[in-house]
Amino acid sequence: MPESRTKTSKTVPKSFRIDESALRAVEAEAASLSVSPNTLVNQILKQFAEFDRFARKINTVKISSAPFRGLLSAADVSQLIEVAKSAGSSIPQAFVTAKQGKVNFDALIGHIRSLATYAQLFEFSETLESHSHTVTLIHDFGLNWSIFLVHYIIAMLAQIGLTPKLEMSDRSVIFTISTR
Amino acid sequence: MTAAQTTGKVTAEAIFSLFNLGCPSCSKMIEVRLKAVHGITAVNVNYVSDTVIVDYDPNRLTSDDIRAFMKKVSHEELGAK
Repeated sequence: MPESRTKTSKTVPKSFRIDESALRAVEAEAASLSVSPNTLVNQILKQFAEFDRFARKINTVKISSAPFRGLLSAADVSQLIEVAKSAGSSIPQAFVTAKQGKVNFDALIGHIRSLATYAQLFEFSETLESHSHTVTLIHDFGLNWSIFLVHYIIAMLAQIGLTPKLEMSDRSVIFTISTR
Repeated sequence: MTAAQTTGKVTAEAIFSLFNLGCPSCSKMIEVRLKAVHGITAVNVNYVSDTVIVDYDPNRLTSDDIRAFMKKVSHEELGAK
């Protein structure tokens, strides 16, 4: 498993001049969440550093969950699979190359993890045993989203010569890679 | 090969959406309550993306156990308001 996201990284002091209205918004949001403005600013910057600046390079758009769910349910399955294959064979590679400069298993799983952490496309759990690596994705976007994810992941892992074992339902996708 | 694979140690991590709990103000309470659960080794709430990242011992817990616990905490919190 790659470096845990829960590990606390080093912090450093740094001064910036920022827009006053933006500061007021951050302070108000921090107060409503019962956290310090420092915590919130750090997480905003981390989201930019780890996800947004790379997502921008692959022309990412933001969409509310309800129309996203509606678009998926209205889609033709065979065309959806073709889109998933095309996206899975190009987007993860472009994302991790921009972010880390190399494409390997840990980097690709990191891409899937970042889609859970920063894009709310599914919930993610990862279990590493001595001879296998299992990732479970849980979502509320229906069967077509599971179908899309299955073909996206197969195409993504094919780029590095891996073939996962997959299970799917209308709410989940589970893929396992043997590490023997 | 990672350290976990070398030692045969089993580790697990899960990322949950707080958005799905329907309790936007529950994040701090969930963080505190999760940290007290046996088998959970680290918790990090992301207040910007509304997610919580949990490291846990999969021999003691499953991600479904943790999700159910978070739902219970959010229902308690909503009920208390």
